[in-house]
Amino acid sequence: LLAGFGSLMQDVLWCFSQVKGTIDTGVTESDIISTVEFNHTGELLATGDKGGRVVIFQREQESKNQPHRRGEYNVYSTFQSHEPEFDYLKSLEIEEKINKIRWLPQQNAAYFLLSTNDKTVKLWKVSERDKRPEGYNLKDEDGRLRDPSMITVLRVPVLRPMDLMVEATPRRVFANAHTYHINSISVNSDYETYMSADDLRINLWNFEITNQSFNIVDIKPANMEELTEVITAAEFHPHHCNTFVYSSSKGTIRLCDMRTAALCDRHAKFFEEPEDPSNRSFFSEIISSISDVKFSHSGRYIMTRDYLTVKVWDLNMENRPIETYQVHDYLRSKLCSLYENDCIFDKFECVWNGSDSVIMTGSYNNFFRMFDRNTKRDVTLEASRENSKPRAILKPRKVCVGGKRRKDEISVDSLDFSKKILHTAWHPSENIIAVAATNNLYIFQDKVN
Amino acid sequence: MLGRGLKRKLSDYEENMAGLSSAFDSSRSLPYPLKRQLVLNMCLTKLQTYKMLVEPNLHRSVLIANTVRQIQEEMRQESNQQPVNICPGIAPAAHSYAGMESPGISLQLPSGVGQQESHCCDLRSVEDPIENSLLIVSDDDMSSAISSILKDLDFVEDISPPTCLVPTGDDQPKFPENTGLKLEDDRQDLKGAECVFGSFEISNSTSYLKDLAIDDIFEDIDTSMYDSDFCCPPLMPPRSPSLATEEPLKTFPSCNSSSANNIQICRTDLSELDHIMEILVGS
Repeated sequence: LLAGFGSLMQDVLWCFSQVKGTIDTGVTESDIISTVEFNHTGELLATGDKGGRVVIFQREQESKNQPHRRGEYNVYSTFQSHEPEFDYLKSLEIEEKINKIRWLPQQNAAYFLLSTNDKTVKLWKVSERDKRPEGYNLKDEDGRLRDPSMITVLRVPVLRPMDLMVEATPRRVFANAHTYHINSISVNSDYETYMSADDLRINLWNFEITNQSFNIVDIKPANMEELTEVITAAEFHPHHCNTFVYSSSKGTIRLCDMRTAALCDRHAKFFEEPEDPSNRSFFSEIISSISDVKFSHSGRYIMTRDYLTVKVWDLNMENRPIETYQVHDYLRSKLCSLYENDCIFDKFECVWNGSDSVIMTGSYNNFFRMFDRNTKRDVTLEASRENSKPRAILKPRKVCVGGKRRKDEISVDSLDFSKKILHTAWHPSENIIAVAATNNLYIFQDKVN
Repeated sequence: MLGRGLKRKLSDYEENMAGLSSAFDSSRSLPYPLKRQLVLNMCLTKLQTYKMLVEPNLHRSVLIANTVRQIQEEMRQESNQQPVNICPGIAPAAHSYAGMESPGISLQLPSGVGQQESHCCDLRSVEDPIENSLLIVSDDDMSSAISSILKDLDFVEDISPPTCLVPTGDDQPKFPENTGLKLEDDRQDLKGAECVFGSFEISNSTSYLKDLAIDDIFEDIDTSMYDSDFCCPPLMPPRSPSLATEEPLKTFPSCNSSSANNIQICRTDLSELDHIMEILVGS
């Protein structure tokens, strides 16, 4: 093992496994991946893109013949979830971009997921068909109706095997409930309800009812000129079906209990870190805006991502996070340029690993970062075609902040800010991660010895 | 909305922007007021750009508006403390810079302040390319920029969600003031009514028609707004056909931005009131 190579955390070495998407240098806008999500078993991996399509990958069964191919992900289903729409009342185009996908836990043979664009949430059922009935009485094999007078014998249709077909059907459409753009959806642990959040409101839905929703949070002021804060993300507690959190553009998190009131305008807990006066700048508020909030699997912590950091909060301590990790602090001295080119508004997501011991988030130049909460070590890795040889171990990357640049380091000014990793996902129980780099999906696994 | 002369300088301004923001980031000698002015102008330019979009991004608009508010507040405090300066926003007192330094930038206060004082009126020559592209922005300009973009975001007709304050199983929706509307009726009508009512809703207030809307609209309609500069008939009560009320509103080409926004709101709200009337009357 060469010194300096490999991840430093828990002796995990991350290897390239697969990459999905074209190699073309020109990126078609609609192919840009906008969300990535494993299902609850990790068997399925879903991506949504700007063109409104959902692609689901399924992990193949591990085979003893090829143990090093630890279950590759292959395309299972592709469907058009959302189409571009035009709102005639407001003369607005509604983008078909999929903002979020959330899986429902599997309760029967079919898979269910929620996908949403800016305005409409849809429940999709993905099911397999590998048999078909043959021998109908009233119609022939092509589906044409038979002449009833020609039918002399009754027979029972039988199921015969057919090539596996995976169908995706929209089972529910939850529309017309959001004036502003939906940024989050979250399935409740009761599996009967879910919530959708836009910039100013959060609605609670029952899966069975599409023409009504409960409005549980509304921060729209009577006079829009007084608006100073918007909702940026929201999520249900993984175990307590009455509890959820939502984050704001001012860097605060509110935890709400739905049992206290129908309209959860009063929070049960309010998480905010006092501002560090030495870091104050014109852009302090903008970089404090939280772009993602995630409960840990245990439900004891929440993780938030703002422009420069990832923070872990203990639910029992509201006045400051228990851990703060610097994602790319070298950007702090570039904030004006990043404001000018709008990069400062990029919304990075963050994820927990299955045991809540490691957290991961993306950065620029197709870099992504992992932080081990126990060892306090961190690593920067890169999703690129150059590192895409099968089972190639990913080499840690380093950004040179000033002074002499070492051979393998990259200087801040050389970073490509158009290559941003906003969306990543971590398998619920294994060290398999999916990283979306613009129009490519990278899958990395830990090294199998 | 921005200072006069903006349009002429806009293309130069944009060209300078990338250079200016790098100058902001890398320069240690850029005086704080200049940096602030730079940021302020960038904010206002962005807001201006967003206003031209059909649907501005709410999140970004709020963040930028807050930044403008922050700068505005700072400049107000400085102008309250000091007599009027030739270069607005520059306070000769050293203490006003305390705690305001951006990381990595040293203002070298003891000597720097003296330099800035003497440069106060020489900035134009010393920092010529930068200063020329930065415009003097008044407090009113900032306020109107903020309110303009935020009002634009409310211009979108608000379709509040069809809310039901009781759990499923109870089939009588508790819409205040609308006990005549039943869910069993045509959903399109229901949504149409909600579209209209939604814009007056404050969360789930049961008295939204009584509070907010009508009185607030009439508060804005004040004939003193229209004297001397404008000659128009007084605004008619809202239940008149919308065309008649819109006509006089259209004759104010020289409105400044703040009254234009009020008029825009009046016009919007008045036409929505008309819409309500049509629905209630059933026409």
